[in-house]
Amino acid sequence: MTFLRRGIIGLLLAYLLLPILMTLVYSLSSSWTELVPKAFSLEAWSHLFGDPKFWADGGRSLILAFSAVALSIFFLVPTLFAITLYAPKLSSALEFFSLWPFVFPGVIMAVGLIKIFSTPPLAISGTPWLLIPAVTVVVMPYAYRAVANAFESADVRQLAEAARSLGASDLQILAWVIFPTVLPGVLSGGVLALSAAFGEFSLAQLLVGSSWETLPYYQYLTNSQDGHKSAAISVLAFAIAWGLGSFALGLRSSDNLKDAVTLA
Amino acid sequence: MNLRWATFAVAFLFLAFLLMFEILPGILLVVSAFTNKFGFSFEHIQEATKPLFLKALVNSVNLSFFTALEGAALGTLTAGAIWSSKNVKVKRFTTAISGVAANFAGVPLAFAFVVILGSSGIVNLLLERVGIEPIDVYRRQNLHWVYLYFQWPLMTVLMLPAFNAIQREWLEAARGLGSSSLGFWFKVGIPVLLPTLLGSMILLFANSFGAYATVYALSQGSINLLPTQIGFQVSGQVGYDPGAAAALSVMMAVTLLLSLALYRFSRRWAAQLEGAK
Amino acid sequence: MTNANAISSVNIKLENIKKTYNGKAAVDNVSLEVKPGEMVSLLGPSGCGKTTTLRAVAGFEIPDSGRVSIGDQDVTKVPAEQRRVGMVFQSYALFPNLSVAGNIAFGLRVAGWEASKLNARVSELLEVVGLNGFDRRSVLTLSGGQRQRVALARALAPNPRVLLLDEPLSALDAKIRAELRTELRRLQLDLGITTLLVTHDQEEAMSMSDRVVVMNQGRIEQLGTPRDLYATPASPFVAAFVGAMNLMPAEALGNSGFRVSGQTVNIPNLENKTGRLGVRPEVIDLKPLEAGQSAAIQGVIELVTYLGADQQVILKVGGDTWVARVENDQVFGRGQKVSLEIPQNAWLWLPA
Ligand SMILES: Nc1ncnc2c1ncn2[C@@H]1O[C@H](COP(=O)(O)OP(=O)(O)OP(=O)(O)O)[C@@H](O)[C@H]1O
Ligand SMILES: [Mg+2]
Repeated sequence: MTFLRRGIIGLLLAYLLLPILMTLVYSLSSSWTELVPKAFSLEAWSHLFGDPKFWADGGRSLILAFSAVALSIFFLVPTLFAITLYAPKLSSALEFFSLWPFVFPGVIMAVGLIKIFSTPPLAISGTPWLLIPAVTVVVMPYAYRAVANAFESADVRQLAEAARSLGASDLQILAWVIFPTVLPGVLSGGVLALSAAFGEFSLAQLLVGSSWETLPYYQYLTNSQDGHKSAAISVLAFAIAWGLGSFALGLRSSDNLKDAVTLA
Repeated sequence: MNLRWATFAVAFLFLAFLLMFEILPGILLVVSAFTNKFGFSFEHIQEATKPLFLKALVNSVNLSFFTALEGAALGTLTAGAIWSSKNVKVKRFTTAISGVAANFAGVPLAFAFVVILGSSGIVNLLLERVGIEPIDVYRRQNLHWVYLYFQWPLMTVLMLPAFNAIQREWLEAARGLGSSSLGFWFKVGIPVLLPTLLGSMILLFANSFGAYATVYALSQGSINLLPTQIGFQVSGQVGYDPGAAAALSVMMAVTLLLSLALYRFSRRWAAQLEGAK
Repeated sequence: MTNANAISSVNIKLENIKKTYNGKAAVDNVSLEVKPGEMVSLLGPSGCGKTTTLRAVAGFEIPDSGRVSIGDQDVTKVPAEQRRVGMVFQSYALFPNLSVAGNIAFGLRVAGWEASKLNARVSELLEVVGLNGFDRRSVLTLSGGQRQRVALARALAPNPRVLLLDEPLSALDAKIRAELRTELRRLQLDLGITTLLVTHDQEEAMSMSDRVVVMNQGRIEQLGTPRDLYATPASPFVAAFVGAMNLMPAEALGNSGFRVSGQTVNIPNLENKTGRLGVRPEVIDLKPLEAGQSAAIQGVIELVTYLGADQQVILKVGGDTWVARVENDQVFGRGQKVSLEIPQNAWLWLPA
């Protein structure tokens, strides 16, 4: 039993880590056509970091990711608050619309969005003004799950009642009681959504393409030109996902882990 | 400031936002799938059933079903192994990395697999060396190796809570009544896990069914799947037919909606069993 | 209740059981025999090793050293599934995917009973635990007390040699607990099944068992009938754990005189040692003192709690707090001075 247990866990770890490790080695090698790389160099990495386009595209990805997350949190927290406290019946509607991308994933969303937004008066197709809201919708499930869980497990309703009976004003309830209790959930949801938005490719490709290039699209273009450089980007992406993921994980208990899961 | 009205104001803003960027595009998609220049018509739907597209649908279903099965089998075993492991560090690390990898689809993943399974990929070199036929990652039949990268850990994190709901005392009670551990798993363990297992498999299916970025980055669309076809018809590199794209999208959305319904049902079923404590 | 089956009672014997976790002894050299048909309780505070001891009997824990035997058969290394013990868990551990009948039949299925005998046995046990007509119900729809009964029926169904109960009533509310306590004891006596019960509730231990084992920090502190433990506790720990006790440091003054809580008392039959003196609250009688009067032991009333059958009085005696339980007919007020009348033979002397 112990043998089997170790075996399957080891197999999973190997399957998840080896591709990344080999990609890392590949990014550090100058030629690798035999079983072991012939020579190592930092060329791919220095090319990558020396490319102004990389920084420009990375900057756009950051703008995109942070805007999408800021928007989802700006919408979700007050809405969940209002629904939990004053209109619990609406919670299933909110859930429905937040999980919408499960049924309409990025590719399909793009089809509908292009239809509406490529003709005046709303011709914002090809601009970040369409990409940001679209990505916000697509990463909403991540943020929603975490924030909704935080509201649920904190029993926000009772907390608010307790605070009110102690004479707290609405603003005090929000600032001193509700916000601090849901903050870890909001943060972890935000971080997961950030990670997803940062790596969003389908909408970036179909809605804006090269007219407002982001990092995943940059890598997509690099793939065919410089394999070693592309390898470096893969490793970088994994490192970022790992960093954000463990940060989010640290914010939540392990039994909530299933919510960390994608609805890609 | 009145908190109630302030938060409701934001909620309405949210609703407007969703209408604009989620609900209207969704509705428009459905409408344009069922209309042509003259009004209601099945023209696009009919178009969507032409052999190329049907093949894409079949391929997508096949791939998703297969990777769901594969991921479910491996993920369930792994979750069970994590559950029964006493090494907290291993548990933590495996769970954490599974959570990350489950979300790690897209361009970076595609390229990592090119590095190991591309035409001069390192694993392929190794396979050649030992006389096994290399795995060509650009072929549809081998795509499941890439999808397994996120399906396996996804299943693992989905199953962990279900395993954690199995109380060690149940196993002890069964043994006290004379049953072997294996007997316990057949009579109690698996029946308790079953709803979550089926539900998670449906999630895996949907996860793979709607996945676009990974396969597109890998093959620029030369692999004929439903999402890549939709991408083509809307971006116009190969064909350009927004009507067909809409019809194919509806096909996909209906499949996903069905999965979602089944998933919900399985959750309710699981919740019933979990009321045990 | 019907006689479910004729059980030929066997004994349980523990010899020098030791179990260590991370260098800390959870059970430290415990020896104990439960005689055939007897019901013995393991009583002690949280973490004292009761569950570990019980699980060593069940086979879920293999002791580091020592011997476990059931019916004079050494089972120390026998796997749990072959020991034929019936165990009831604190959380009941009912299988959620099986009905009431399915749970009760589980052990019978494992043992390969044929359908007609199996069904008869299940009905018989449903009858025994008073759950007639519940066979098809999902265990998830049952109340706590009903779940407890199913767990008991499930444990008894395959005719176990001994019955092991780990805090079987602790998850229930007070009224049902009291009811089930009597019911469980009656059933145990009817079946004559050797039973080991773990509890941290002294009332439960005293009322249900033939003998009680008081444990503390992995060791047996005292073993005896409920009466023995109450009348002659072997240590201050037992005295305080079993029933209530006023336990005060005492100084021997010679000539059978002792100084306790600033009072001087005369207790002829006690040894002339320094230790602690104990008095049970219910042996104390209170007499009001007029102003200027004094008594051998006197105190000032701090708080009176009416308990229905009697009343509990908390007093300051010297600098110490004492508790007395007296009849209802007297009415006391806060701050009232009283004389504490204690029969000389009611004093217990305990080592410090
Ligand atoms: N599997 C284990 N690993 C490590 N320590 C354990 C384990 N099981 C028990 N212990 C320790 O052994 C000691 C005795 O535990 P045990 O469960 O027997 O106590 P108990 O008397 O049943 O307490 P309670 O009334 O709280 O159930 C405790 O200090 C406990 O922490
Ligand atoms: Mg215990």
